[in-house]
Amino acid sequence: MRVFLLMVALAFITRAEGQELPSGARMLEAGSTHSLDVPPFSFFGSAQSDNEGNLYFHVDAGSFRKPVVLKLEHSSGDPTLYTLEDEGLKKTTFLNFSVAPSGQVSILSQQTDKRIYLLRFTSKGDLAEKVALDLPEYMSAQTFVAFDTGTVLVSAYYLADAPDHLRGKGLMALFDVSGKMLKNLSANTEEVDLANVSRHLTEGGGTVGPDGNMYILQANQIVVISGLGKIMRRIRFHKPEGTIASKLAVSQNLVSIWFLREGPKQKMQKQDVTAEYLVLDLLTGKPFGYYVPGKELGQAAIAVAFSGREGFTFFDTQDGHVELISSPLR
Amino acid sequence: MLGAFLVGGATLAFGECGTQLQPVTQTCGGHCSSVIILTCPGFGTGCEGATGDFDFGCCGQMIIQAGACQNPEVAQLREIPPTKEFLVLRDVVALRRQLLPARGLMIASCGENKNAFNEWLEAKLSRRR
Repeated sequence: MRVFLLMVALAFITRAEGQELPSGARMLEAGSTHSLDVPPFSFFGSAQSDNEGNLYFHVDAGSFRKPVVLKLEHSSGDPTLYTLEDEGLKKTTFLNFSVAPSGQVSILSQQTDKRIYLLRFTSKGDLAEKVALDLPEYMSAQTFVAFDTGTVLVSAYYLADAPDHLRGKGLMALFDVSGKMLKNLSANTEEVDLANVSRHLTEGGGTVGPDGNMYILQANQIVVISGLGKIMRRIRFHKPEGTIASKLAVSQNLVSIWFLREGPKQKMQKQDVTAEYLVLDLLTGKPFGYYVPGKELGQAAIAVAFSGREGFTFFDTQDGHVELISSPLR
Repeated sequence: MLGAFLVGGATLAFGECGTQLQPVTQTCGGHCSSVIILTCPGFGTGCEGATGDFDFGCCGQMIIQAGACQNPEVAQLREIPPTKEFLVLRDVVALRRQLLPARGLMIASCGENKNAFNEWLEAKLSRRR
């Protein structure tokens, strides 16, 4: 596997049309297109999906801090907005969100009392409950995964305002439905460099797999954790140099990992970002394929979803509306 | 109204930027690291890292000067925390309330009509109510 990935990471060739393709990688091409009657909109981070294939976005309501999640029904594009009333919006800062397989939306937030809260929403988008998590205030959340049972996993690191001996260290823990820490899994985390961490996209992600276990993405491995906090398995992979492992999805017998590449940083200007994808066989942990999006998938070729049956789904806009482009695995 | 607003001394242009979504990253403060945004160039946020309150850096809303989409100038280098935003940017708040009365939100869209998404969302939510 290492030889294969080393080839992928290092040996670039140039295609006739000028697009660089790692050796051994396959080009993702547009398959079917599903047009939605939805005008284009901006959103932050990775989209998420539920068992029905509905998509959830942290939309840009003026600031990353605003806790606003939009659901688009897979077939119709009908929206549901998960957010707070005005008073709650003023006091609440968005940190992360998670969609359980059933579609229940949870938002991880910090409020003006500096405590970290879990906000659970009804299927209509109203706040169902607000639970204070047993977490210190000086944390930066990296990964947040919610089970249908109400149990959640949070992976975070200690910020510069934490006590000296904790700064930069990781914390990963399971919390029960009342916010009490069920199990501390911090031994499975790595220390971060606080001086540089905020200058780059966050590494890591998580999801609940079809087997009911949590799949937690780290820089060079996936840690599989049961709902009771038992480490079931580790799936190791080699991350191509210069990339950030930012998201994973598990479907059927495949697991896909999103590798992001940041473009050159320019002061006061936005920075481009591109994505490549590693798909592993879930049973063996061996590579199934390494994929690079073709130009026809548009400028915004960062997949919003993955399934073993349909491959990757890309979000694009055409003639003033959103299009979802399926790109099957080859 | 869609052309431009005068907000806190800075002009916010809504009709002058790109129409295609593009992924970009934004450097933030320690609390939320950098974030990736799928947005249209020239519209959205842009500021100097770690300038905001509460170490949130550029996660907050910034106001972009009217002008070229490729190299937008930032009207002010510090982000605007939500509390100040609600106090100072009265025009923006008023517009949000007009578009989404129950929520007071404005979600950035792309293309000629930067309010297209808000108008669509409000119509959908109103029909459901």
